Amino acid sequence: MVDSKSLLALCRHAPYGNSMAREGLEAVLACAAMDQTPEVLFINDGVFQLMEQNPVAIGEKNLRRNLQALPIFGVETLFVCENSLRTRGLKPEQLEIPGAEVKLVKDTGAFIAGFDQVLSF
Amino acid sequence: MKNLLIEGKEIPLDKEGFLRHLEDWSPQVAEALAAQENIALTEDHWDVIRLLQDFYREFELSPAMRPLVKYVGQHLGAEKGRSIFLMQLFPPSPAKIGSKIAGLPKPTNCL
Repeated sequence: MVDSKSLLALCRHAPYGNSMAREGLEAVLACAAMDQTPEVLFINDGVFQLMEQNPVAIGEKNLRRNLQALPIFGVETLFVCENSLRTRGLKPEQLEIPGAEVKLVKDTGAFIAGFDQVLSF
Repeated sequence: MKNLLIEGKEIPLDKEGFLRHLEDWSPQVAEALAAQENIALTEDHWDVIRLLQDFYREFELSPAMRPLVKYVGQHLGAEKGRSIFLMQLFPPSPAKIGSKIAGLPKPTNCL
């Protein structure tokens, strides 16, 4: 077994406008199930994935409810771009995911550069 | 896969034997689904079936093996939160077979 590379998944899109958010989550869950647990960074409109949502009216599954499963899949820290929050007028308290620790990232460029591989959703 | 016939009502299954309509699930349906897998349900099975359904209600997804082991460990104790315990109950693939009998969709990340 070779040393596994550090892996980051970027979640850049709001939850329901297209399927990127769901694809990203499923990739993260699949990696975690294969023992390649990535770190996850919510950036740009991706920060909206972490907010309370009720998509029953559009016949979608609740993505935030799915995200709450991340800790049990081994992803216990959720990184969030501080600047993306601020420019959208959001506060960190609005993002709570039970069982996960939300960490704000100031210098996202340096943060992303620290990973061997980056998946972008 | 053939559909189930439970108390005169036909229950549609997909080609892998998962329920097509999750609301069709009942304990009798679980017994019939288990019988197709040659599993006779014991109290231990029912504990895990109930947990799988809790998991689905909480997260709206079916668990893969590792999270299932962790979740069982959290709720039924470390003694049962082990893959060997689940393998004995729902061979050969506990997340998949357990989800099927509990009436959940196939785990999406079940590769």
